[in-house]
Amino acid sequence: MVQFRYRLRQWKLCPFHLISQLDMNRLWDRILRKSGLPILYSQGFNPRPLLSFGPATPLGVESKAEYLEMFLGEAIPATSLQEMFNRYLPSALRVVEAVSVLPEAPSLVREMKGVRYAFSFSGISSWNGVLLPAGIEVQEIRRHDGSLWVFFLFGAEKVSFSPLKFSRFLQENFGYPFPDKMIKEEVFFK
Amino acid sequence: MEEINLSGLISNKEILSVEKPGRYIGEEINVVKKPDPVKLSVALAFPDTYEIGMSHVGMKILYHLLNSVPEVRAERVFVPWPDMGALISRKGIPLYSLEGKLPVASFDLLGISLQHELNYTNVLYLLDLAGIPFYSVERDERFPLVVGGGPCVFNPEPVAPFFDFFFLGEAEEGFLEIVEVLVASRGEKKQDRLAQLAKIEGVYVPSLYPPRLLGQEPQGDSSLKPVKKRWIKDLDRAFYPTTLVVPYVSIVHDRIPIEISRGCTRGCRFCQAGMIYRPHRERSPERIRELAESLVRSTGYEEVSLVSLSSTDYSEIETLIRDLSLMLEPFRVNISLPSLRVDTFSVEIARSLQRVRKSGLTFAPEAGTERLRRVINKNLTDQEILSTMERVFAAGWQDVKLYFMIGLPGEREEDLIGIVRLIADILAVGKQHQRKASLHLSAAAFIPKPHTPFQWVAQEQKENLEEKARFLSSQLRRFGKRVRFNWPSFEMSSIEALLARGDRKLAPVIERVYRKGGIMQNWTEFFSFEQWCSALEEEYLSLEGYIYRELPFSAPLPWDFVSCGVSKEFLWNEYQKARKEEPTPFCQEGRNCFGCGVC
Repeated sequence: MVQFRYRLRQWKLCPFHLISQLDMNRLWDRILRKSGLPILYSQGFNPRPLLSFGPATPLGVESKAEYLEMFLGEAIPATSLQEMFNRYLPSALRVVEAVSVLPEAPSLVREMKGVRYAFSFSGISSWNGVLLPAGIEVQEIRRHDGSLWVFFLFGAEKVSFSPLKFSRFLQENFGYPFPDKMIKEEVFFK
Repeated sequence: MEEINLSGLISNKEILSVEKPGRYIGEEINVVKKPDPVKLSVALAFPDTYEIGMSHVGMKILYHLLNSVPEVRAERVFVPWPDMGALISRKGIPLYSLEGKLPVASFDLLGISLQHELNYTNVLYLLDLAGIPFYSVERDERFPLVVGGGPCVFNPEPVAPFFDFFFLGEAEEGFLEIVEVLVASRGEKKQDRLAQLAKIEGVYVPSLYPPRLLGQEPQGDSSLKPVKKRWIKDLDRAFYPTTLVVPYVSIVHDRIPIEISRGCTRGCRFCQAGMIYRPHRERSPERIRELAESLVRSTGYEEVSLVSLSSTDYSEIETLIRDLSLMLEPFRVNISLPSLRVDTFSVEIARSLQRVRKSGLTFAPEAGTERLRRVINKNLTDQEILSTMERVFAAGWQDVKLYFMIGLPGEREEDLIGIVRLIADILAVGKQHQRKASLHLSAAAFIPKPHTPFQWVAQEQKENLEEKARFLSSQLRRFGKRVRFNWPSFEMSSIEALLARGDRKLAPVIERVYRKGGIMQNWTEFFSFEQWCSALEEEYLSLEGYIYRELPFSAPLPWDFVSCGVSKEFLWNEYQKARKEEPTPFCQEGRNCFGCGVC
């Protein structure tokens, strides 16, 4: 069967950081049915739409880089897909990028080489260099509106590491407060 | 009115500490957001959680019906889980609507859906979180008018002092008349507005009626007319939404409900829904198909549920399902049927549905012997039950749920033994087809509900019910893992009965329970029987006075002034027939009329 594969990048900004990845799966199921697009389904007793997501962003973490892929039975311009989905989605969940990819290209997860997160802390004035786990590094520190923004790059074996676990690590080992905001800023691909 | 900036007031750490925070954000697909100004803003509140309130069909109808009027803006309100309730109280955030994040107290009208008696303390919880005084007399024009609707309004007396008015019956018929009066009387005195509302049929303004106490002759103005329920004659012409709000978090009934019929023809004598939703009306297959198509297109839902009190009583159910299946197949949308009759026809219908095939089947024989089933007018023979079950197991199901009731009027020991014998017979039949045939049994307590033939009956003491349940449990143990048996809290059933049959003296009891911390009383983890008992005692009242005594026909009932169309004489006559174990065949318009009085 002819398959056309699309990769979408979606925002998941406040307050949608309070809905889970499972909720997002269900949402996309319904958005696709609503759209009437020729979505392809899996084989078997309980066919599911051919949809796949990048690693789940945990509850409480916002994102400007949620990636998902879908398979359609017809070629549709990626930009039309983006426009169509954005008609249905609230703006804090909008699709900011849509591209078509080769059906045989490696999976999202296999292609990821780094993720950049922004954490905002209030009540602390500076970031004291601390010993971070291997694979996580501080990229940038900014002060903005009385908050301290620290940008971390999760690379190598830490690509799929949970930013929530990381914030607990900072709390427990170095006494940093729980971040006011955690945002997945960017995903880097190989 | 200013929108509440939730993410500014509640930190990420705090909101992550509450269970399922996704239910407090709103912003769902198809949510209706209307710009100000409108002529009437309505907060539609459900005194239970988001997951339950969002599953309720009536809420969906009312929400979209009201929003279909250009000058009206309706927004949803649900009761937060206690962790979130405590958080917003601590932060000084008033209860807010999901659409505009507006304080509930800033709306013109607050509508509260009363679906279940055990939610009554949540009405106060909701008002408290919203910063609205509990009693109608304490609220002036600065507060929204508070209206109640739903099946509990067929005896609104226990909560009557908390409400400014009630609407009795079906909102598609009559609620827009209320809207008209409210829009036209904007700015007028509350009492004047209530007097105008009272002229609308189906509206009950409790402050205009003297309290009616159980078993006592009513005092005061005897010229007051009964309040008659509103109902729509033609379901096809009635408003039904063509779009629905699609939640992010999963809710109890996460699917498209299409109401295929309203009312039930069967006339089971314990069943309140079977009486108050009379007469039986059907939506045409054409209209159902039209609704299914637009609802699937607008929501993207994966399942359509054909809702009614008894789906297989729908006159063209086979054709309807065949046509709908064909139509919905390309969308990969399943059909489900929630309420199946106990007969082989229903099993054949269920077989044709993929969704129902995967899930379990539920049937309600209600009683263990043919005699007791005749008493309650659920006229099934043992043979009919057995052949239905045989067909179920033969068709491939392994596990079936069966609902029974205990404490029914006229129940004898042989009826309990009858349940055990029936289970043994069903399992024997099941094992012929399924090696692993098993049953899931549940036994609810009979509750005497207003407007039913059994409204005069005493409820059985909860200790007796518990003994009966334990007896059943010990008898069923011999089936081992093949039969799982559970029963609800009979303490909860007795409070449900108390509130169902109660009068206005119970309003301070409800308030006391709320003040003792009694919220979410329909959740076993929060229900406290002791709180209810001490609150009753503090008001010099008792369960004995309300539910543990049989009432004579002559006893004035608190809901005597409320008319659902079915006459008291008909109900009494049905009760007498029950005592004689006489069945009443199901009604068929024009052919088989028993004069209940509704048509």
